[in-house]
Amino acid sequence: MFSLRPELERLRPLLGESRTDALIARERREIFSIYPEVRLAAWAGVMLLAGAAGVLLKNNLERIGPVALATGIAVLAAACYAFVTWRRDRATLVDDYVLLLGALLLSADVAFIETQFHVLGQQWRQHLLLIAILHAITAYRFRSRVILSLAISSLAAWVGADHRIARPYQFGVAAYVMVALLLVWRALDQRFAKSDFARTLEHFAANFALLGGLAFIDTNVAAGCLITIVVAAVVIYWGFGSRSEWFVLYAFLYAVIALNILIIDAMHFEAAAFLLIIVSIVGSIIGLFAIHAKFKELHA
Amino acid sequence: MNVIEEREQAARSRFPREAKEAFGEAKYRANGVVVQVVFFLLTCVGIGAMYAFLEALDFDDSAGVITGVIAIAIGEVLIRVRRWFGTGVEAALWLGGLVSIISELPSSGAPEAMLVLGAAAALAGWRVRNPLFGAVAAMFVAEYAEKRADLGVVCALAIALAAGLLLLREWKRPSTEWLFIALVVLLPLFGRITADPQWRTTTITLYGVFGALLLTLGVVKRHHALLVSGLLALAVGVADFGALLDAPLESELLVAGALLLAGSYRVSRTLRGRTTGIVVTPAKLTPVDEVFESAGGFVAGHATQSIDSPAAGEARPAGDGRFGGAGASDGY
Repeated sequence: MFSLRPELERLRPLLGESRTDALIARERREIFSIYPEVRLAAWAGVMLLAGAAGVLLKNNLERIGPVALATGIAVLAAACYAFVTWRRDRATLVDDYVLLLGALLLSADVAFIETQFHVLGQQWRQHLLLIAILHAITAYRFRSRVILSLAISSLAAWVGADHRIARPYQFGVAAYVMVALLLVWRALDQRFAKSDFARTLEHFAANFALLGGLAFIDTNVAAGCLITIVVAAVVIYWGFGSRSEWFVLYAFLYAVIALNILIIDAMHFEAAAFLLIIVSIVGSIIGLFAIHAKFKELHA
Repeated sequence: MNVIEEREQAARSRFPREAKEAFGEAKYRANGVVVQVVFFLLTCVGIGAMYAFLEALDFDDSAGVITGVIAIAIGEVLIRVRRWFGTGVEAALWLGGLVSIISELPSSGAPEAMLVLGAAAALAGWRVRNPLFGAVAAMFVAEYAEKRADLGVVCALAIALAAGLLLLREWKRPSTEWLFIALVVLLPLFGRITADPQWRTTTITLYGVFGALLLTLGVVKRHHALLVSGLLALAVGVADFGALLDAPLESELLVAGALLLAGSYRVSRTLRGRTTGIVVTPAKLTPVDEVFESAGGFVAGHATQSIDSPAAGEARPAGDGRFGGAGASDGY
């Protein structure tokens, strides 16, 4: 066991009596929150149940039949949504995960129905848009960031920003379509909903833009690297503007990756290329320290 | 970094403004966990590039030793002169340096090589006080026990149990506490990797007993690492027990998932509204819980809605749908 009690006692005049007492109670484990463990267990339970639904659909098609399977999963998904809606006023932290289970079952069921019955025919990809819209509505209704991520995942699959569907170049183009959609979504959110989802949408947009740039490397190394570096510069500028260090940190890393790929491509694994990589890494570390210090200054 | 400095650093990470006022400016430069990981990876790439650079200059026989010596020397300069401790850079330089030197040793394939790698990880871990390096060292020891005497699981669980018991006493250095946390959480998982199928019943028994013991200790002593370790060990035991049964995979997943979800629901309901003792008031496990949450949602969605389909923009031929929902993946 490790305890910061002596240090807290020294900080008492600065932290205040009541805050120090509360913190010391936590150090003594008089108050012990198992919130993370319960969340982890609930999340694992949902993943296992969603996995069970997937295996059930895959292995029991002939035995149970597609109609019964699709209906059964739909009923379970509806039960999850109903449970969370019914208990909304006295929700526990597990309710978020029941909602996630409902959403995952819904996704699996819609995909299964489309696979088996070809409801949308040649327009089969539209089922992904349908799922995305349903998840987005749910995310706003229940203020759930996890369901929002599910909606974004479905939207990405719909536009083709999905590595299983697209070749790298197609992924790159789709990623920028995704960026445009996410930025429009963010603007609409800020205009009409004013939710706290803006930052999540921004992070996804930034990562799709940076990944899109890297995807173009497969077609043209120089162009892909330069696009990534330019986008990284924009994201870094945005990160400083919005005082969010995360944007700056990962954009910087994407830029370093692109720069090193560019070096290796131009110099074909020669000694000078490795020397330049060493220099770029040292420069990156110094740069990241400078960025970190700048943000500390901004937040001081 | 001495005990007082390390403790003050721990206080600084939790109360930066107040600690700065009370303890003065930090004597050592340190980073948060995520930034440490970034710096560690970047430095590892740099060490790899240094090795490749020397090889490209025809230092074939000594590239590892030269890289290692340079890396460790830079690491020491950063620690002693620049006072970097917990930045991720010096840890990578020490570990990468030692691994580079070891890479030049002649390989005979003997199990004792595991002990050499373990010693390197332990030495680097001791110098930079990195708990994960300590856990990696213990994993090499467990792997040695597995190769030498087929006792990988027993060795891993024994180390984890010892670490769990050591967590019951109070430690002055936070890094010592973190070392035992890393050992008690990671070693049971590593032990399972070394487990052989013919010992499955023994494995289930060992993990069941270990899990129950650690879970009990975790509840009684109110320690997150003991709780998590106990839960993970029980999960391993239950999963292996499920594999013994001749039940369909979906039934096993269904039962395990339902039990976990129902259990967490029951606990959260029981503890709702409590303000003392064991509670479920929001608390963070990591500083980036929201990022994991969003990423988890994205990945789960990705796995669930999959139809193995033609390339983007292409039409799907009639009757060619394949379903691979919720992590499953197969075609019809």
